[in-house]
This record gives sequence, C-alpha cells and structure tokens, in this order.
Amino acid sequence: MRVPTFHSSTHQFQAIEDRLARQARLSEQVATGLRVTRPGDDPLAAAQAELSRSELATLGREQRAARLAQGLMASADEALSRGTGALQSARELLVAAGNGSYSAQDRHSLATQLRAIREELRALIATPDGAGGFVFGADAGQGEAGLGLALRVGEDGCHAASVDGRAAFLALPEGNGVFTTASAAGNAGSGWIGAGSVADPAALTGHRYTLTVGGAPGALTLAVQDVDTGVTVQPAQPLTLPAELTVDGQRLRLEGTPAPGDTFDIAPAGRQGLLPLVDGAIAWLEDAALPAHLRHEHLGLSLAGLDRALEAFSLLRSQVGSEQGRAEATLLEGESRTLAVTARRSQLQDADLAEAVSSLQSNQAGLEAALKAYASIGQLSLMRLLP
Amino acid sequence: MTVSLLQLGLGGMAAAQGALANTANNIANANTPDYARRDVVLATAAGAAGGASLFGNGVQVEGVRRSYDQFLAGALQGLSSQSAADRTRAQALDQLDAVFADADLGLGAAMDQAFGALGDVANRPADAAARQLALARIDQLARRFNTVGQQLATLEAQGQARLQADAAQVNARLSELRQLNAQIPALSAAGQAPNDLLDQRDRALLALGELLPVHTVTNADGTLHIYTPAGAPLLVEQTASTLEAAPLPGDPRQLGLRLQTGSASQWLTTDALVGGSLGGTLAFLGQDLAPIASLLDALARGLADGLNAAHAQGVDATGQPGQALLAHDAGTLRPPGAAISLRALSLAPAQLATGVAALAQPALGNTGSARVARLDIAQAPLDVSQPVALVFADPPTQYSLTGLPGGDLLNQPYTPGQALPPPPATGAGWRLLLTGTPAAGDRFDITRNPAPGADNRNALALQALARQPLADGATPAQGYAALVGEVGGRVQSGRDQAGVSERLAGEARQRKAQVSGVNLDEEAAALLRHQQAYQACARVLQTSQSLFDALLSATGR
Repeated sequence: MRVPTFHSSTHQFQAIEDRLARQARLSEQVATGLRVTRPGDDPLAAAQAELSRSELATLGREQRAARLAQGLMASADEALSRGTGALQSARELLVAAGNGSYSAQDRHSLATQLRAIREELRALIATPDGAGGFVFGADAGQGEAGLGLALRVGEDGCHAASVDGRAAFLALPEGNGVFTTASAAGNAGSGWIGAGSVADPAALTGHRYTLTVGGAPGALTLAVQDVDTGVTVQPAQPLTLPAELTVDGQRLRLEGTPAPGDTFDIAPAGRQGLLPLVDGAIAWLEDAALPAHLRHEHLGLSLAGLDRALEAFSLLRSQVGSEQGRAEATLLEGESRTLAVTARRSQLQDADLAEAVSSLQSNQAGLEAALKAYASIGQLSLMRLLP
Repeated sequence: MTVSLLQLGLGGMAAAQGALANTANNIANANTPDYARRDVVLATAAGAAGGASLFGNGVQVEGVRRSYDQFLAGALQGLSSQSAADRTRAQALDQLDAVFADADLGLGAAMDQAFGALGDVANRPADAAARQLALARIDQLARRFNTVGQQLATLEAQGQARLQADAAQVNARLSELRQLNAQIPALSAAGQAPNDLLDQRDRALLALGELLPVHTVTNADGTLHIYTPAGAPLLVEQTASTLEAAPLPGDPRQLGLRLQTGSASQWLTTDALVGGSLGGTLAFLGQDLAPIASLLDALARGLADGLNAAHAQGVDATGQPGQALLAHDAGTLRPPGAAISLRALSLAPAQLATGVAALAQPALGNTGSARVARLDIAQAPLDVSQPVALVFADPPTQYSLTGLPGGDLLNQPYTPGQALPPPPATGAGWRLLLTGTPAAGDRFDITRNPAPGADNRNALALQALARQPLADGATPAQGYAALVGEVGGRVQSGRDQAGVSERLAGEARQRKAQVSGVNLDEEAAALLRHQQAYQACARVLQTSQSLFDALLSATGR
C-alpha cells in the first residue's frame, strides 16, 4: 500500500483539527455551565427543557394568584373575627338595656356605645383589598351597594379573591329566621309578644296569622286566625299571662297585660341588612317615649336579629377558612412542584462540570500527543539521507 | 562497435536525464492537490533494421504515463459531490440552529410572559398598570415572532444569493472545460497524452462536481461530455449550457435553476440536483427552512386567532366588546401567504376586555343552596338589553326563564347541573350553570354587568388560553417545544450526515491518492536510481573513449 505524502499529512492534520473543535466545544460548556445551548446540541433535551421552562412560568403565575387569594382571605377572616366580637358586645349592650331599672339617660348612653359599634361594623363591611376594591365585594366605588360581585382568581378561578358578603351584611333573616312577630300599631294594652321559636318544622305553613285578644279585662281570651286561608286555627280560649302557645309549629309567648281588642301579627320572616338592624336597635334605645312593653318586644327582635347575624358571620367565616385552606394548599404544592421542575430542567440542560472539565483535560492531553506526532512526520525522509 | 558503444551510452544518458526530469517534476508537485504522479515508460530502443541486432540498441523513453485510475476518480467525483451538498446543508442548518439558541430570550419565554401578565390582570382587573403591562407584553410577543420571522427570511435570502453565486461558478467551470475539450484532442492527436491538461480537466471537473452532480462520458478522441444525472446536457462538444438562478414562474419569491442550452431552456428539478452545494442549498431552502417557517406561522396564527377570539367574547371597561389584539400582515417568507408578521394593535388599557357583559346574581331572598357556578358564553356578543330572571317553581324541579330575547321559557324541567337555557336555544348568548340545590321560589337575575372594568372572568379565559390547543392540537408551549425539537433534530441529522459523507469522501480521496499521489521517499529512491544510471552511462562513454584511444595508439606511428 502506497502512502502518498501530501494526502497522509493533511489526513493527520484533520485529526488535530477535530481535537481542536472538540476542545472549543468543551470549553464553551464549562464556561457557560450549559450542556445544551442550542437545539442542535441535544434536540430532545432542548424540547423537554423548553417545556419545563414553560411549566415553571405557569407555576409562578398560579402561585401569584394563590398568594393574592390567601392574603385577601386572611384579611377577610380577621375582619369577620373583629365583627363577631363587635356583634357580641352589641348583644351584651342590648341585654343590659333590658334591665328595667335603667333610665332613659342610661339607655341613651347605651345607644351611643351602640353607635360606635355600628361605625365599626360599617368600616368592616368596607374592608379594602389593597387595590381600590373591597374584600367583601369586588367593585370599588359603589361602597356598600357593590357587595356581591365575587372575584375569583387562579387557574379556572379556583381561588376566591373576594367574598360575597351579602348573606351576612345585606340579607339577614328577620326575627328568628322563619317568622316574625309584632304587636299591631293600635294596641291599647301593654302586652308584648316574644320573638318566638320553631316547635315543629314539619308543621310550618309559611302563612300569616293574627292573634286577637278578646273578652274583658280580667277574663281575656285569645283567638288565632290564619290570615291567608281565613281559617280560624284556634277559637277564642281563656288567656292567662304569660301565655305560651304553639300555632302550626310556631311556639309563641305573650306577656304583659294586653287589652281586649289588641292584635298581634305573625308573618314569614323577610330579609334585613345588618346596619339597618343596628340602626333599628339604636332608634328604640333612644326613643324615650317608647312604652316599656314595646321596648321588651323590640329588644326580643333585636336580640334575635343579632343572633342571626352571628350565625351568618360564622358561616361566612367557615367559607373564608376553606378558601384560605385551598389557597395555602396550592401554595405548598406549587413550591414542591417548582422545585421538582427546576431540578428536571437543570438535569436536562446543565453541564456536569466535573465530567466536562475532565473531558477537557483528557482532550488536551490527546491534542498535545497529536501535535507532537504531526511534528515528527517530516523528520524521517529518504531525502535527508541522499548525499 | 565503438560507434554503437557511444550510441548506447548517449541513449542511456538521455533516458536517465528524461527520467530525472520527470522525477524532479513529481517532487516539485508533491503538494499540488489532485496532481497525478507521472512515470517515464522506458523501453528498449528499436533498431533501424527491424530490431534483429545481436546486442540490442539501448534504451529509449517511450512516454510519460500518468498514474490515474478513472474508476477511483469517478467514485471520488460522486462522493465529493454528495459531501459538498451535505456540508452546505449542515452549515445552513447551523445558522438556523442559532436563531433558536437562547431559551430565555426565545418565543416560549415571550409567550409565558404574555400569559403571566394576563394572569396578573385577572388578579387585579381594575389596576390600570396591570392592564398596561399586559398590552405591552402582547406587543413584545408580536415583536419577538417578527424577529424570528425576519431571521428566517434573512437565511432564505442568503440561500438564494448562494444559488446565484454558485450558478455563476458553474458557468465559469463549464467554459473552462469547454476550452480544455478543444485543446486536449488537438494535443492527443500528436501521440502523447497531454498530462497537464488532463490534470487540469480533472481539477475543473471535481470543482464542478462540488457545485452540482454530474455524469461524464469520455469519448475516443479524449473529449468529455458532461450531463446532469437526469440527462440534461451541460457540455457537449463545444456547446456549453448556461445555468442561472431565476424566479419560478409559479411563485416569484422562490428561486429555481434554469439550464439554457442554445435556444432551449429547462428547469432543473430538486430531484435531479441531489448533490453539490446547489443541491444542498435547495434542500435546505425547500425541505428544512420552509417547513420550519410554516410551523412557526401556524403557531403565530393559532395564538393570534385564539387571543382575538377570546378577547372578542368579553367586554372592556366601557362595556364595548373586545377588539382584536393581534393582526397578521403578509410576510415575505414562503410558502405564499405565510404570515410570520404579527402586529399588536394599539389598545388603551381600558380597552382590554377583562369582563363579561352579563352578570348572574342570586336574589337576596333565596333560601336554597344554589349558587352560580359559571356563566358560559355560547354566542358573543351577549344580548344584555333587558334583564332576564330565572325562577324556580314549587317544587324546584321546574324553572322559568323570563326576559330572554328569543321568548320566555316557562315551566321547563330542571336537572341539576344542566346549562340554562339548554342547547340548542341560544337565548341571550349565555348559558348559566348552577351548583347546589335550589329551593322553591329561588330567583336568579341575569343583568348587564354594571362594572365590567372590575370583572375578571374574561381575563381568566384569556389566561386559560395557555392551556388551550391553539397550535394544531397542542398548547402554545407544546407547539413551540415541538418546533425547537424539530429544528434540533434536523440540525443534528444534517451534522451527522455531513460527517458521514465527509468521511466517505475522505476515504475515496485516500484511495485515489494511493494510486496518483506522490511519495517523496519513492521519488528520492528514483532520483538515486536514475542518477546512478546516468553516471553508469557516462562511464560507458568514457569506456568507448578509452577503446578508441587504444585503437588509435595501436594503429598510429
């Protein structure tokens, strides 16, 4: 086999060029710390690293939404806990107002305290969310009227960023939640009716009733009529006060001294706002001319209303708590997922520095050997030996 | 006899001199690429009387033979043509690789930033800064698409310029070969092969082969006919065809290669040009760049159409339906109509449609546990001219929808989880979904959204586009990752192919050099040998001289 001089030397230099190229590639890897800088370096790893990067961005987006939701739910929870405290102090004030020995002056001072609580409740309803809106209703600029537009954030709106507070602030059930009781306006006597309670939910009809006191002073009778159907549920019966009776599942209590001809109305409970409820309580506290028996009646209704408010606040708080829990779970899961995806991305595209440096050094040694071998080609030649 | 001694000596010295000259020529051309080594052909001299003399007539140089194997040369021609094609394609693919190099500055990162900004708007829809940022990020996305499209267009322009330059090179080589075709037969007729011209022709043919694949036919008189593999004539006798890169009649933006022979012209198809740098460039333009460009275009269109469609379903802060966010313009890249030119339309921050026109609220007096789960948009724009009321009857297995534009729906049966109004009725364009159990008499009001600027439901839908199959059944991120993988795969395969064909061409070159290459040690040995032969023949002359002297001294007085 002939060995042509020109060709064999160029061929040997090719090996040196290949080593130099590999050297350049390895030093770029070591310098940037990346094994895959271009798609051509490793197509599959480049595509997977791209997907990992995109997933990291998505996770970041979800974390931002979850963090926002968690912060807002925390401030809602704190506001509701303050509100519960305020409602309980209001309840205590009203219970104190029921003390018969209090004068109008005392009741007036109680009303002033109640006003302060009312202001606290108003401020609570308008808790800001830090971006010009309200935590309990997303629309800024509409104040209390904006309650109810619930904002949801995150992927598919999975986190709540505002709370629908209408059930707690605007639409509390009146009375005991099922029916209301009231003395008719023209009553002459000093009897009053309590707020009532439900004895048998199955027997409720949702109709309006009228209790009519008849007979003569000292021998009073009580008749109950269903206003909606016109049926007399209970014909006139002797009445001894205080009287407890149950009408179609509704337990009622009459106290005081009603006069014959007095009527008391039972109606299905409607809805009232929290602030109007407190305003109502302040009004009858400050009304010095209010007779004692009506005071008792209003006290009963206000206390019942406050109880409904406390229930609604508690329900809302549990909803807020569950939303908060969901946001926190998302945050935790997101953190661990971010870590996993970052590790995967690094595994795909980062260079193993130890391996790269050792390859660099072994390539360097090979390069030196190839260069020395090339330099020695020209040493041996018959030309040198010719005389 | 002395006379013949002189003749013999002179003949030998002349032959040795010729051999030495040839060896010197070989040594001088030791590093000339594609030089074929020459050998002198020595033969015994023929005598004047028909070669029947007793002692022989000495040596003569019959000719100089070129060490050349046409089969090895032919193999090298084909392989170097293929290697040039693969090398050109691999170099162009490396440039394409660089376009998609930095992941954090690429299209995928821009898409993620745009969706992230839309997510921030969904978190705080009333914040003007978040809206402004979202619009800015969408603009940035459009610009990034355009930059990549521009880079692809630059690669295409470079490829087309290369086609034109290489076509001019082909013409130069063909004219060179034509001249050689004229000279070689003239000199061959004199009896000696014109070795230098043959070497020159070999070189020109190899250079031509690196530009486009050729088939050659050598004739008896030494001329060469050159054809393309499909049979189109490039050089026949003295007629050389002209190659030029011209716009195709069907699509002026693409360049094709047209071969002009005399008055006839034909287009060379890509199938015929599998080889040479022309073939490599055409392969890159047609089979690599064009598919990548259309993948990118499909991604851009899918994203733009998806964003525009989702935006149009919502209303902005003033209650107007969302306008288009992105527009495609006609681009400059193949295939025709491919638009990788996105433009973000300038919208004011308040014009970002984050809200939905209709708002469904349960009435305050509801006693059941039913709540609004979702208000889906079946047909945009929604008709919110009059409020619609959904009332549940007693018992709540029936509902009535009053106030619908298409007419009221009264006492319809209700299944929990059913969308109201049920398809195919379109009503006002929305469908309401409830969770929970409604009680008798529960009522839901669907009215015009009083504050669409603070509503984020359409912003949530815009953000959710990142998970929608906008790019041919894949999400935008998956589509882009597939594009990156496609580019990388092609680059890697191009590189591997170039490596393999380079190695094959190198081996063919080595085999050819084994026959035709100069080995300096061999030439040194030849130098020594012919030098000795020359000295020996000079000694013969000296001997002849001394014989003559002896004769003279023997006969002289």
